[in-house]
Amino acid sequence: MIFGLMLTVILLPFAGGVLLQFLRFGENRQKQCYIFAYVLLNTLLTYVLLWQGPTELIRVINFAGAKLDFSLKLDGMGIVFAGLVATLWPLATLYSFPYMEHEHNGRVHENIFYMFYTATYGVTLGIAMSGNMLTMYCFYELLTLVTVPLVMHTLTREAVLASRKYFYYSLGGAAFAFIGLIFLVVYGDSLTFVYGGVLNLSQIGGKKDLLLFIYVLAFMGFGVKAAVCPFNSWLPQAGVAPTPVTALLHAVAVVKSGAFAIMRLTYYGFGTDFLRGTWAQYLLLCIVIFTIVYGCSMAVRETHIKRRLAFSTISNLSYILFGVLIMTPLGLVGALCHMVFHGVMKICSFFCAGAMITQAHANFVHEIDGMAKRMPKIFAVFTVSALALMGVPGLCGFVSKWHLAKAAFASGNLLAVVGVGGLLVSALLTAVYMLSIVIRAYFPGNDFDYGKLGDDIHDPDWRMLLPLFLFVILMAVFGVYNAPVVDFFGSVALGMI
Amino acid sequence: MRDSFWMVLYPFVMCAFVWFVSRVRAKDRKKVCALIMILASAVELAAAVNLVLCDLRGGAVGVCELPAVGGLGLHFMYSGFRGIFGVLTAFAWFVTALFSYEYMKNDANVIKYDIFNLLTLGATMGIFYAADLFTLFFFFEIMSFTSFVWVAHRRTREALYAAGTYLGIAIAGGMAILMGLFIVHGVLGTLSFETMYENAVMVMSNGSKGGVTWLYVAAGCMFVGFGAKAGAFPVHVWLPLSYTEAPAPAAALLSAILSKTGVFGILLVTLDVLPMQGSWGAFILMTGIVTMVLGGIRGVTSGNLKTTLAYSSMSQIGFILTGVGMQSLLAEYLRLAAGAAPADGGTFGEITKVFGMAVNGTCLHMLNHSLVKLVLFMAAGVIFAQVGSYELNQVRGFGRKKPFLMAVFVLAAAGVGGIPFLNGYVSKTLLHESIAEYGALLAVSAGSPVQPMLSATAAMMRVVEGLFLFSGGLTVAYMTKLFVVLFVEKNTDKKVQEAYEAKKDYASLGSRLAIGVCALPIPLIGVLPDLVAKPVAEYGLMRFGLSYLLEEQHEHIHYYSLKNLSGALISIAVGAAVYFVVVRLLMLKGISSERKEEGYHEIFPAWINMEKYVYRAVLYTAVPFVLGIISRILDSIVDIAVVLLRKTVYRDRPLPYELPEGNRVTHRVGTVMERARLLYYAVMRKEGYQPKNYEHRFAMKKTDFFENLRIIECSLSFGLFMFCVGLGLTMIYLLVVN
Repeated sequence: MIFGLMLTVILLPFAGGVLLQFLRFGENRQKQCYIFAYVLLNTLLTYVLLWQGPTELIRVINFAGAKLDFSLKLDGMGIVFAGLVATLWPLATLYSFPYMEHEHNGRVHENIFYMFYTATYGVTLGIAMSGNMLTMYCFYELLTLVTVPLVMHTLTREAVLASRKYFYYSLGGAAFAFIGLIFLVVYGDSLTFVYGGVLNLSQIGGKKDLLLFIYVLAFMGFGVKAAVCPFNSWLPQAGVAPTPVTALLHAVAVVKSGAFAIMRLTYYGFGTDFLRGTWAQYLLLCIVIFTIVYGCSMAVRETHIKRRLAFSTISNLSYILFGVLIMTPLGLVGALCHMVFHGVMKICSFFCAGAMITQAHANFVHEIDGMAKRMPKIFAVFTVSALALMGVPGLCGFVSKWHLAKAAFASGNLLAVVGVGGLLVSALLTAVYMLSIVIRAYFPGNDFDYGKLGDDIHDPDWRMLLPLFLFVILMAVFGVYNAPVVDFFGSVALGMI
Repeated sequence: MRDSFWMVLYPFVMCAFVWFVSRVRAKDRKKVCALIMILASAVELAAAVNLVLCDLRGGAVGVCELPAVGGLGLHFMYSGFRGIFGVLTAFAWFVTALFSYEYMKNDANVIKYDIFNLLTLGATMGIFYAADLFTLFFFFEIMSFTSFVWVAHRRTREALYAAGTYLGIAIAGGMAILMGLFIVHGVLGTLSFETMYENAVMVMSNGSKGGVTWLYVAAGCMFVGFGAKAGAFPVHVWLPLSYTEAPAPAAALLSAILSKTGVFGILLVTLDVLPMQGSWGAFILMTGIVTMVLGGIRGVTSGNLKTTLAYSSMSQIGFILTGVGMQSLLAEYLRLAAGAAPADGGTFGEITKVFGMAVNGTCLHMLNHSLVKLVLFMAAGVIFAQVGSYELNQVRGFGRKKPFLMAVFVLAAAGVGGIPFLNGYVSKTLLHESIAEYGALLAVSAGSPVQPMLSATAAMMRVVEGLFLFSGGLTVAYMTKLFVVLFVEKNTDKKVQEAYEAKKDYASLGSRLAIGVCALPIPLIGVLPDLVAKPVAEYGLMRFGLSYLLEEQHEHIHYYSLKNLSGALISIAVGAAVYFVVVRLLMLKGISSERKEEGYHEIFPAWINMEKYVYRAVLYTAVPFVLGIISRILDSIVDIAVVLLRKTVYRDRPLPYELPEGNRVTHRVGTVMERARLLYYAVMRKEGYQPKNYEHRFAMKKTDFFENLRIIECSLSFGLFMFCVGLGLTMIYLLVVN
């Protein structure tokens, strides 16, 4: 029963997408209803699955060798990730309908686009529900394959170049991750995710440094998708994709898969006891702290709104990795908090940026002067998301920052304390790059001529606004009252679920 | 009891109400919103006063918890100090609301102003009633963002520039506070003010070096944030710009109340995070003195009415910080004296008295400065509403024949200048005495075992005292400057002067009432210090480690003794001297005779501009430049790796795969020989190089060779020859094997 449900939620979006190619719809509206229906159905099924709670390990296929299984399992961390993905996907799909109507050659490949767009949903759920490293690795590679066409969607020269880069980076990274997988096969008891790690310490002997090196390799390998510096340049370039893709995949699903894989690798593969206090931890902390500051400073320099947000994503992903690398349960709580909260905040700000593009064709920061008067709702939402990203108390961004800092201080690791300084510098830069947009929109100056804006600029229709309002509510609720969520993360981080 | 919480929540509710009204009513809605704001702040004031009365009657007031809100929960509490500043805040909002009813009535964005005004009121109340550092920070951030709208209110280029600076400093400061918060939480394990003090004392008595160091780091971080709001050097850069650009009522609030929230934060850090740490006190004292002197100098040299007032605020904050520093230094002395020589009761009592002066002086000067600045900024607003400028040369002579304006202005200016029988005299005397007597104590007890452990010396105190009096003189000088400009001198343009003098309806009854109410306590506090100032200061005593000593302390202070008056007289004399030298000689006459225009000139060099040439330069030029270079390199590091690989290991074959003639060997050898020949010609400097086409020749040779070979292979003799070789090999094999 559970197993069937798991397979269903993984395959249903793909099947629905394939079926879309053969169905003929009279009206566009009907097609959209169909797509939305099966995405929503999938979300509901996923919720049922999550409601059932954690499951046992289910072995599907056994490859050669006792350790190489293809197996599914839903544990606490999987529940968090699957819940995040399942909540955001229908909203993003709803948002994508009006957006794709505005896209230049959207109509031509629209069916193909939606096939891959929804297929990604299933694959991402697959990553969340993988029972062992091998299964996750397979879904991880699959994720790259199904998302490349989405980046390439517009088929412009830029898009082709970006998708090529994305493809090379991702596959290259996965190759490094594969090395880690192999070492886990050799030196681990099994590949199954076990909280605390699977390494067989008696087998390691004097090869500790080698294994640490392999961990660094695998971390950086998965880190490619999580856009760790220096493997980040694919992410801003992939911003040429349509906004629903950039928002959902390149701010949530794909990049969070990278972070999620790193959490699995660290807490369920190598084990934090093995890694804590080693040079590998310090090295990676340095890289991650650098990425935090670096992403923000690049965002300040960037004037293209979507690319600016992409740089912001780079920085924020490293917040998550920073939490992971503190290597204590508290750190994991911070990381999980930021994984979920950043997902909401960033998808919200990206959707606002997308609305600016469709409604006003504004791609650059200087093009949005005075827009707030014409699109009050969009900019109100954008302001909230900007404040949340900065970590203003009362909104969700602060909560995750708080837990990260708390974990850093509790760990007693000096580098982690330095990292908190990095977080705050980054928050300051976040204020600069987000609020400069807000201020331009609201305060264009006394001499600004609103007549220049054109009369056809207005707030988008409800399909774009509904998701945005829901996100604002989520951000506020998580910011003001988050005890149940954080408690749940706490028990996940302690390995109790 | 949830009283203090309702005080915080109520303005937010009213704000939503104003927003709602502004949506519904189309006609007269500006007026309605302004009236709602006046009413709301009146109710808030009544509630705040009620809170104080409840407390005085002994009723339980105000501890309130909202668990888990915002992650850690919001906690509110009540104490005398909080009560006084709660009342003051509500009062300030009430009078400015009354004032802005007339001042802002023609403003297009007045409703936005009203909304953000109420938001800021709620946030400020939240700061003053906060029971833990997190709650304080929570409302501090809200206040920073909402007050940003004040500064940007006029939407001019200058206003937006100032607002940008304000927001930048505020956010950076907020982040610094947050860092401090994290550290404090890490070291002390709590953020509640009640337990923070006890834990801090424990950490210090444990002698754990690391813990104390971290606390200093935390306090430093928080000082940056709170000091930024207060306007302490070197994070004061936003202050003159923002105060000048904000509308007058907002500037009054910024100066009177918002700067006090910063001081409140510093006070809490001093009392609860680093209690009785003299070196911290010395640091605050130094900063306070720099702020005080610098603000005074800029105030004297400024040619703009509002900017002068802004720098005056900065300078007065310096006085207050000096008081905070003195508190900390004296507390250290008390701690050490109590531990070292319990027998020496006389000195101990003396120190306690001086300590009490510093504590009361600080609290009173905060209060006095708020009242004075409310009056002065609102008066400046009245002038601006008529003149449309704050430039001294424009407003010159405006105040002539306006008795009300002159009365309130003189009261306030003289009050802050420390003229006897006005409020500033009382607080400045207390602060001055605490410095002077501390210095005297140090000089007397030289050689006692406590002395080397103290963070201050008698010589240092003498310097501090001198600078304190000098700054007092600067205050007198710039206030005299403003007074003379407004009420004594005539405008250079006769027609303008006539128009100024003819203007009688320059302020409505509401505005006059607002200003008058603020000006009223100024002489009251000054004339009856024991009846008004002392009880207020005692009620406002902050709870901290040694406060029990002060509760027992009932020493009477003779404010108008000759000794105390002499300090004020020195300041007035210095002020007069500075006024005549700097203002009359340098600003009015000009250093050189080149200046044609009459009137006041800014004489402070424009290139000393920290905001423009340090902060903005670093933020906009240096940091992006450095990070840009690093980013460029890192951004392309993978690309560089790819290119490197392609140029080395994965290089395309240098030879075309299919040669038109010959094979790779002939081609390579031919090319090399051709090159060698070219090299030979070049080296020997021989003329007439003709390519000999070695590649072609070798290719031909190779073709010949292989053709010949094929012919040989096909011939019978070659077959027989190979047969013979085969036979020979067979024979050798047989021989060897057998």
